[in-house]
This record gives sequence, C-alpha cells and structure tokens, in this order.
Amino acid sequence: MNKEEFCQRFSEVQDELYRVAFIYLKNREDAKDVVQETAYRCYKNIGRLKNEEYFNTWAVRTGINCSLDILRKKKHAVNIIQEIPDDDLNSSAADTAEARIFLEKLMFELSDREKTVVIMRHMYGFSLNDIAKSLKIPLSTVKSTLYRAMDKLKKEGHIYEQ
Amino acid sequence: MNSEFKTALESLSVPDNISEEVINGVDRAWRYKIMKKKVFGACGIAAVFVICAVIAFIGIQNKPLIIPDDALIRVSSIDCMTGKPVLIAVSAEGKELGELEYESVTYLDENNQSIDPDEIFYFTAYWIDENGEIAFSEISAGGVSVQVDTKYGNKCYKLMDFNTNDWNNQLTFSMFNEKYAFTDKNDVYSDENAKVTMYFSEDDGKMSLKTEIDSKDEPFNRIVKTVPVRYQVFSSVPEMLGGMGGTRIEGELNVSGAIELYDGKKLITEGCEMYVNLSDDETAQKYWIRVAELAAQLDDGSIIYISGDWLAEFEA
Repeated sequence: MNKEEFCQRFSEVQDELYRVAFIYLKNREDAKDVVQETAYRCYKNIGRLKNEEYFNTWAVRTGINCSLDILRKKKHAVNIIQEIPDDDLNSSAADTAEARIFLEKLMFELSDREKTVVIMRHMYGFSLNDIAKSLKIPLSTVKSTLYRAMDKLKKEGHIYEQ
Repeated sequence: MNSEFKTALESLSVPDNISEEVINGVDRAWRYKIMKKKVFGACGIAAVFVICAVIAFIGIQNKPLIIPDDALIRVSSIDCMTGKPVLIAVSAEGKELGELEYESVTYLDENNQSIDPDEIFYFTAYWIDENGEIAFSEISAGGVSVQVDTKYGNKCYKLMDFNTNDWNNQLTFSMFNEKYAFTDKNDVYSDENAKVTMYFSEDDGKMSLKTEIDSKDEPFNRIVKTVPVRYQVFSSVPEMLGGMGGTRIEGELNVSGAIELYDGKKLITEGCEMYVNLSDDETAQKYWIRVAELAAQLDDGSIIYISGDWLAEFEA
C-alpha cells in the first residue's frame, strides 16, 4: 500500500479517530496529535496488517493506544475543563444537548479503562473476549468494568441506555 | 457501531485541517522508513566490507607463494625426519621468495621424463644461514630439474645447482671409461649415450691430445669449449681399468696453454700443449693418461667441470 492509497484509506477513519481521541484527551490539539501519531504508527507498521479488511478496526485500536500513551505522559497534568467547549460540537445537530450530556459523562465521569471498554464494545462491537485480549485483562474484569461504566452512563436517566 | 453512540460521537466537530495531521504522520513514517532503509543499507555495506576484510585477511594468511616462471628452486636443506628436500624459490634476481609447500617432488630428466633421484641424479643441498648466505653445502639426492606439486598447482623448475662457478656448489660430470657421468666427488653415474674421444698423435716428438665430447644431453650439447684443467699421467700398467695402479705421475693443469707437470713431464693437447718427460721412469712399459678434471664452458658462459678416468695409453 503506497502513501496515496494509505491516505485514502485512512481518511475513512480519521474523523472517528479524532473524536475518540477527543473523548480521552478532552482537547483539540492533543486529539489532532493522536490522529497524526496514529497515521504515523499505522503507515510505519502497515506491513504487519495481514488482512486489510480489518484496517479500520486496527486503526481505531491504534488510535486508542496513542490516546492512552499521551494520557500517561500527561498524567501529572490537571484537567480543569469539565465540559465540552461549544466550538467542539456541531451546532447543527438536533440533539446536541443530549449528545453533549452523554459525551461529557463519557469524557469526565468514566475512567480511561471504562471509556476504552465502552468505546470498543458499544461503538465498534468488539466481543468481550476480544476486549479482554486487547487490554490484557481478565474477562471478568472487562465485564465488571463495562457494567460499572454503563451504570454511570445510565444514572440521571440518560437516554443512551443500553 | 451502535447508532446512538455514533450519533453522540458525531456531534463532536472535527477540525478542517485534520487531513494535514494524517499527511504529516504519514510523511514522518515515510521518512522513518527511508532512514531505516539507509541505515540498514549502510549497515549492510559495512557488513559486506567487514566480511570482505575478513576474507582478505584470511586470504593473506593463506596467500599462495607467487613464483615467477623464471624463478629457480634452491634446495635449502634436507628434512631430517622425512628425508625430503626443503625447497626455496629464488627469483631471477636472486631474491628468496619463500619456502615451497609441496605435496610431492618429481625429478625430471632433460626430456621431462620422471626419474628416481636416488638412483640417477645427485644435487647439491644448500644450508642457508639467517643472512641468506650459503653456510655449507652437502651432496644429496637431486636432479636436473624438479617438478613441484604444490597445493597451488604443479610447476616445473630448474634446480639452480647449475651455472655456478663454485666447485663445492656444482654438479660435476665425470668421464669414466669413455663415458660421461654425472657425479659428485665420490659417486658416479655413467651416461650410456655420451661419448668421449681422445686423440693422441705424435708430431715432431710431441704427443698431442685432443678431447671431443659427444652427447645430446644437457648440458653437454651446450658446451662450446673445453678447457683442460688437470691431467694425470700414470706409468706402468694399472692393476685394473680405472684403478690407480702403477706409478702415478701427477700434475695440475690450471688453464690452457703449456702446462708443466710438477715432475717435469709434459703433455700436449690441442689448444693446450703439455709435455711429459718420461725419462724418470725408465722401467715403465706403458703410460696411462687420465684427464682428472676437465672444465667445459657452456654457451651461456658458465663453466662446468668434468672429471674423468683412464682415457688413453701409449708405449714408452
């Protein structure tokens, strides 16, 4: 896969990657850095992808890892923002208010592991076993983490109950 | 993706220049790959150089002795354990090139036929001291030329024993009963094909001796001039042919010209007049003349020596 083909393929997931990264890092610049770093890692290691059918999943998984890496580097930084700036939301969306509430709970109330489990399970449909293998944690831990995360999201009668 | 989660996620705006981030990331990865290739290439080239250097070093260690075609082979010594000669290659300029590593040595006659050195030829072995000088020499087995089978291939060389004027380092040739012979000072080999003819004539009260050498073998066919060096004259009948019976009247002839023997007797040879005074042994019935040593000059100017035996007899 040459550069042009890669960029073309990557463009299909770049927005999604940015948004996932934003959920973790809570600011635009860091999310953009994650997108760049993900593109870097994916292109560098494109030879390791045995089946291009899983390109999107692989890219998102790489993006989550990049986000967690940056968070680890910034673990001593204190994030004082507790809500999503308006600039970072699409104003045209009819349900922006509800989405904002959901996203803010996802971003600010869940731990990084809880975010990861929720995103992998409910956004990308990973099986619990795959999540356990991916995060290298026991299946029971995945289950309890997912349960706890969903419980937090359900509180206050959130519309995105599963 | 769960549609409700997707809807919520898509409410997050994405910067317009997000594609630039992708391009930047891909460019970084591309540069990394290029750099990796270069580094690996440089390492590969370095590795090749190292391997070549190692091979070259090993090659130098095992470098075959390069021997020019005009080199001579000197027998530097005889291995006391194996009895084989230790052969040293010597350049045409006289520089020692090194000791030959050989698997076998085949001695060849003038027709390049294999010969047994123990039975046929003899050569002079040289012991070389640390300065490359001949410390001393000893007669040992050898031949006219030698084919050395080295691990680098076969080559045929002339032994350098020829063409020196040093008696001690010289192959000598003897005449024995009108036959030429290769010999050292003690051992004799008769060459059945060689022929020597001695002519005696008396003219004006002078006996004349002429020596002819007829042989197609090297180096006889290269002789351009013979120079009598030393004759021996015996009176009375020898006890056996080639023996030393009777009264020996001996004199040294150093160079050509009129030679006077120490006892006053003289002989004349062609190109070299010699006179013998027979009056000292009036009881003698016959006189036997022996060419003790005869020098011959080859076409390249070098001198070889021929030692002989009984050649002619004449009445008193």
